[in-house]
Amino acid sequence: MEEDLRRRLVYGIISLILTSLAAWLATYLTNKILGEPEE
Amino acid sequence: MLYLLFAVPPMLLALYAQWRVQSAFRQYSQVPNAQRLNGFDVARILMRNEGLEYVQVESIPGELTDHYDPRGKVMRLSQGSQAPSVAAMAIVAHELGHAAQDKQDYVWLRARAGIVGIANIGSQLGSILFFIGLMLAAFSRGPMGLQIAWAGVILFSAAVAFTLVTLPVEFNASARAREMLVRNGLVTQQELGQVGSVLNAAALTYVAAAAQAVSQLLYFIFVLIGANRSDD
Repeated sequence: MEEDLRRRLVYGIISLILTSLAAWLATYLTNKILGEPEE
Repeated sequence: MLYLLFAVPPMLLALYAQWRVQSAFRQYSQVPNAQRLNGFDVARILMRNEGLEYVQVESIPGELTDHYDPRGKVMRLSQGSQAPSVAAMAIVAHELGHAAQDKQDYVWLRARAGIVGIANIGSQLGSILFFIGLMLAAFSRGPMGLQIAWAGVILFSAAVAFTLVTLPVEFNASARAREMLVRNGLVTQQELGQVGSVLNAAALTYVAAAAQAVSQLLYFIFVLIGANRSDD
């Protein structure tokens, strides 16, 4: 049970890291291709 | 459990992209453009100067439902895009960017039109076939179940191809939009940056959709490779 919980936690953390990376990469590439917008 | 890794990041990315485009649209809907031109004015000027007079302009209900229909040569603008705002200007120019692509027979637009039929079938039937195949493989002996599942994957990849081909189409329409607005003297330098914020946020939603589709396809392949191995 504890092992299962730990695995879920690790998967959750990896998911969040992947999401952050994907969001950063997608924004970076979009701005690179289309040009920097006004912030 | 593995599904979480394939499904959650792209889903959160899609939500983030949706939030970005809505907040950029809301922000720049409140900013009037320097020339106080509403969406129809911008459309009229660009269509006249860019040789797109034949495009019909219609209203469409909803928010951010604007689109260009290449079959009918019709640009449909939602309520928000009819106001004299920077956001409206960006959206109208983007849709006319698609009209310009259509006029010039832009290769990616043509490719997208070519696969839209099979992509529609693939997005609906692909996943269904995949799951039916998996069920068959689980409850019966013989390779038929997995073969059906692979057929589902191949069908679904047409939908993935559609989302990938959509990327150059949308990015190019946004690049054309900026060029048209500058060429026709409709934006100040500051407005060009604001237009960019709206267009880049919109582009991000297409990137997120493509990432979601690719990730789902990878998951299907991953599961089937695993199933093949356990069969050996």
